[in-house]
Amino acid sequence: MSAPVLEVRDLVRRFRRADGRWVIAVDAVSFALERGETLGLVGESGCGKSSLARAIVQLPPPDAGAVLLDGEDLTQGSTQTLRERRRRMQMVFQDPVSSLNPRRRVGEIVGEPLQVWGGGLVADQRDRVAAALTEVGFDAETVWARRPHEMSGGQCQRIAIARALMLEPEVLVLDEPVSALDVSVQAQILNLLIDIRAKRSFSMLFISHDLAVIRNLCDRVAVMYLGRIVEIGRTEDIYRRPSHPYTRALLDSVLVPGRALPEQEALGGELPSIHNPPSGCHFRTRCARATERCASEVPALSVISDGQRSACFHPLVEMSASA
Amino acid sequence: MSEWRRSDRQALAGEVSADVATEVSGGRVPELAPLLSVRDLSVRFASPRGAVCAVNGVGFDLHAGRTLAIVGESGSGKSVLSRSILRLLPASTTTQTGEIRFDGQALSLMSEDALRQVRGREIAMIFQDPMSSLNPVLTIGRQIGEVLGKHLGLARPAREARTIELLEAVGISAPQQRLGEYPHQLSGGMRQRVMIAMALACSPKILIADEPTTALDVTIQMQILVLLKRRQRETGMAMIFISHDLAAVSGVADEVAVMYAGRIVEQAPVDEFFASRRMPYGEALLRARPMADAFGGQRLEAIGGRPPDLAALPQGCAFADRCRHVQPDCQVTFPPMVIEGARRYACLHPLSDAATPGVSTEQAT
Repeated sequence: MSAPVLEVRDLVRRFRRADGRWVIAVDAVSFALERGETLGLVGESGCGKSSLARAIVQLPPPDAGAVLLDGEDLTQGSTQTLRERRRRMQMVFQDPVSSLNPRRRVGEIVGEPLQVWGGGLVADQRDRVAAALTEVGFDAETVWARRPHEMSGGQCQRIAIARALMLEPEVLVLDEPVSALDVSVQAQILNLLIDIRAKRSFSMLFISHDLAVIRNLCDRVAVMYLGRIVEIGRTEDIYRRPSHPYTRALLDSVLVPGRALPEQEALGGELPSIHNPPSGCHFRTRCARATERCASEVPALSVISDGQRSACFHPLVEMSASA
Repeated sequence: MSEWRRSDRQALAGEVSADVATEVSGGRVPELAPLLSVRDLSVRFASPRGAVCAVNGVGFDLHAGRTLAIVGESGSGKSVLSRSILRLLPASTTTQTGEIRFDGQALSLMSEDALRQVRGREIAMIFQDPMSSLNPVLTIGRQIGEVLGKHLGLARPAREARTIELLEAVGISAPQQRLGEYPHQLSGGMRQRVMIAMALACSPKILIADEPTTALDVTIQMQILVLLKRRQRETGMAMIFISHDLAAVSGVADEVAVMYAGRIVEQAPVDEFFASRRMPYGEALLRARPMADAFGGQRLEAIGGRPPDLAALPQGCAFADRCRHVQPDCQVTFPPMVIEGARRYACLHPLSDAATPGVSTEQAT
């Protein structure tokens, strides 16, 4: 297999509190994104998903660790080289309307990356913008002169995707891109991503709290809990044979049409405060399998089976012999 | 009797026919009078573009201890409907017609003063965004205490004891400490629990829950739904559960009503609805979600287009432009309500059982 397109190594994102103490939002996260792959990142709100995404695209750069795009570390080097490299990685945000400049017209918004990067002749640029708009399902002529407020949330998200793809990035980071949309519009956007992915070659890091969407779209999934990845593996393996008790609880919390609500919730309690995280395994305070060891040691991501790794001392499926 | 007459005509005539009542109960004779019965409810907003028809001739019955779920996309009129029951919409720009009867009294004719006795006390409401429904500058204890003081006339010491009980009942740990906290100090899930505690403070007969779990994580969503169902079992209250999420609906509802362009286009007991759909919109909503056993980038069945402009509703079926089963007459003929056992639907060309197989109930994992 070729080298991964994106590699994140021991990435740390921390914030300073008013009292001078540090809060760790992303705690030494490492993973690799293979070429052409879609990796889902799932977890409850406040688990650090968005902080991780922003640190990867260097908005702003992480406090420690490396982000390797095609083997080049984005956290090293001058601002100028970062600018050069950053064009190869683009981001789509959750709120489609506020991520577009309200004063600009659609044609300008989608064409802006070309202007910034000097994408050839003005006439060529126009053609490329029109092609990009067509690719995301618009009639370019009709929407060219519109402004974001004249469009629905789903349409704005398609504009944001067209803009992100304008420079033909190798990696697309999408932070909850369909969470603010209606079910019917959600399906349109997901179909669009599936179609574009089939036609072009780029990799996606897809962040969502919606496990059904992740299952449908992603090749692999990483589950995050309070700043750490607790389980990662192929989507089918994770959904069929989750190994971390947190993954199991998340999956059991998903409601399915046609199925009655259980008497008891799948997971009680809430994500602990990031200001005062539990020692050892962060999940132990909500975990039925927790023992003393979970409070004193931090479990490392260990191999469960081919391609599936889990950070748990008491996994739900047997670890392979290497563990 | 199979024809559900066009709402505005009826509103013009200013009458509610007895036919409608039989239609709504779906031909079954209910053992008890419904707790809430809504007949031919329409809500219009004045706008520069003309009247916006947000709710169009909606009728339903709600019995004690039962849950009616109202499902639809944004803009389908479900939130306006829920607010119009308690007449919470601004009177200056809203025209509301039709009849709303609660426990034998006509809410639609009640004075503001009398209505204030019903709101919060007999019929309580919780909203999607608890942050904006809670007062940010008052402590939790003060806000719940206010409800207890106003509606139940409890004195201060009794209020505090009752508030602690209420917070405990909705699963808030260390309630004594929470009394002095402000909404911003709580998580989204905790705030929704506080809203539920406040809504249940006066043991209402009906709880209207408008997208109560939409902004929450899956784990917290399940906790809140389990809590609502448990409180319902304990108190026997009825619930109107408004949601865009059919999965959440199937967990809590006894009856499902699908709304589109301000109208109920299909209504059925929950098991029947998830076994099959007649009106293609309900089917489309269900199919737009990834299925429980789908892996690896299968395209979804998106619903093309957008809901119609409520200020310019089409002559025929409002869903016709987006419907994949559309026939020429759908564009011109307004679909009447058809009764079929416990189900009713508004569609000229309903789907057969075979065309709408029951959704997979296989475990997702």
